Amino acid sequence: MVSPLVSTFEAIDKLIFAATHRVPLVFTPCPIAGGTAPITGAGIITMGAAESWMGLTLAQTLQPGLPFFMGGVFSAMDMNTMILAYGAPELPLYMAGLTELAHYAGLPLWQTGGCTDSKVFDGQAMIEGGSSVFFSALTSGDMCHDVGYTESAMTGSLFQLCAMDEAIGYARRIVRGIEVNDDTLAVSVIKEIGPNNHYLRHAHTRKYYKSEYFYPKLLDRQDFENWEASGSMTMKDRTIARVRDLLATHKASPIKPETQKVIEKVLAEAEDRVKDKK
Amino acid sequence: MSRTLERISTAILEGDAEKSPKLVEKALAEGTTAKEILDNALLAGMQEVGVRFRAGDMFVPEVLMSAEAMQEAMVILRPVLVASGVKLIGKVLLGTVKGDLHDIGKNLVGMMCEGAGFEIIDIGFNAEPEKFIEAIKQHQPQVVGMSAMLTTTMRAMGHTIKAIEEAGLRDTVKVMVGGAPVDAEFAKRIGADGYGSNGPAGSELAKKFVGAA
Repeated sequence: MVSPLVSTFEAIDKLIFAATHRVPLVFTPCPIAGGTAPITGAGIITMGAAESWMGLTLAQTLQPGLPFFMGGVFSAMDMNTMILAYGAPELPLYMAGLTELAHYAGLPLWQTGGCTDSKVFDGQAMIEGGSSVFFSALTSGDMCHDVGYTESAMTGSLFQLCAMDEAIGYARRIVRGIEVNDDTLAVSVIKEIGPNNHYLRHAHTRKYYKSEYFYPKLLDRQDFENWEASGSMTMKDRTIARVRDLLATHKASPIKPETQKVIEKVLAEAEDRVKDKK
Repeated sequence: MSRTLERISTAILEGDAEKSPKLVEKALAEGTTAKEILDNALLAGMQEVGVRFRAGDMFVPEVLMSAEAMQEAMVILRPVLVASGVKLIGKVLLGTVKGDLHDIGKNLVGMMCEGAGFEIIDIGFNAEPEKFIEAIKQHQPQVVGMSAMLTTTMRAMGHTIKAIEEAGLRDTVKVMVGGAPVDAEFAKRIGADGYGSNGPAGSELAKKFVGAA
């Protein structure tokens, strides 16, 4: 979509291809409040939903029952820099509104989160990315994208992506909630242990300590002395180290050789198509 | 400076498009020259708008209201300026390049340039290189501004500059480029004369090109 209310040839072309071949579809507008959409949250959601549903209507006309995701990045235009703000609180807020609308209409939604307007790995990037990850989890979108985007979506950052993996784990633990039943209420355990004792050795602790907690890979909980002894690494240092380690050691799950061949052929054709363009 | 000129400046600063042309009429009736009104009231007002915007005290919607107040004032003043033989600051030709439908940034540059006193020729979006060349020949602008919002269409800006070169018109214009994926280094690489990161930056650049900044 090119908001407001226009779709490009390429977008419709892809929609028709997907619908004809029964490929599930995410149809995603990217309206910017105050610029290419109304400035109000209610207004941008109304217009953006209409844009999504234009795609829905066309796709369902071509292929009734085609799986369809509403989507998007709904956020604010910064009125000083004119950027589409990927770190603004309006992004998770508008996306939450859109998610509620989509679910009310019985459609899954492609959420947005883990992105930032910061240019580097810093406090801003962590506040903005972490907040939108958490809010996206709270609103229970059905997929989530733009995780790791920095500089208002101009740059994809592996460091941001890796740090947001941690934020996602954190957020998922919270939305998993508190399970309440006789066993988790642990009344008998409380009686059994009684006062002036501890729970560390109890079978109840051993039973739940793995599933009850989120175990961070990057967030540091050492005391000062041990932290200092292990190199005084900041969150940024640890994230960079983990990205380098993953890049050096991670092995992607193998794909079938014939699939690999088709991918290579498609890439070669694409390369051939653009090689003379500068 | 007369009281009326001060009021015109204030109307520009406050984005009052109803008052600004009426005040220009009043100033003319009081015998102030068109050139004085332009320099000491309108452009002075827009200058202050620029200062406040850069300081973060004004935001784009307000800046656009000021540009509109300037445009309305120019409707009255332009014929008088032309009749008295005053040369306007210059012409800016604007277009969003081939393949791209995103023209909001280009339109902002246009409004800001108009606010700075330029005459604008806007050839719209999805504009082929030929359309730029034709418009340069017809309107003879000092500045050509082009925009693209996608990494897939930004290359068309380079193609357009090349086409302008091949048409033998490159030395007649200064070229400025802008758009979300564009930066100063890219601008340099494709042979543009400058890059602006937003509307106000675009008009500052155009002013620099014609020696008015």
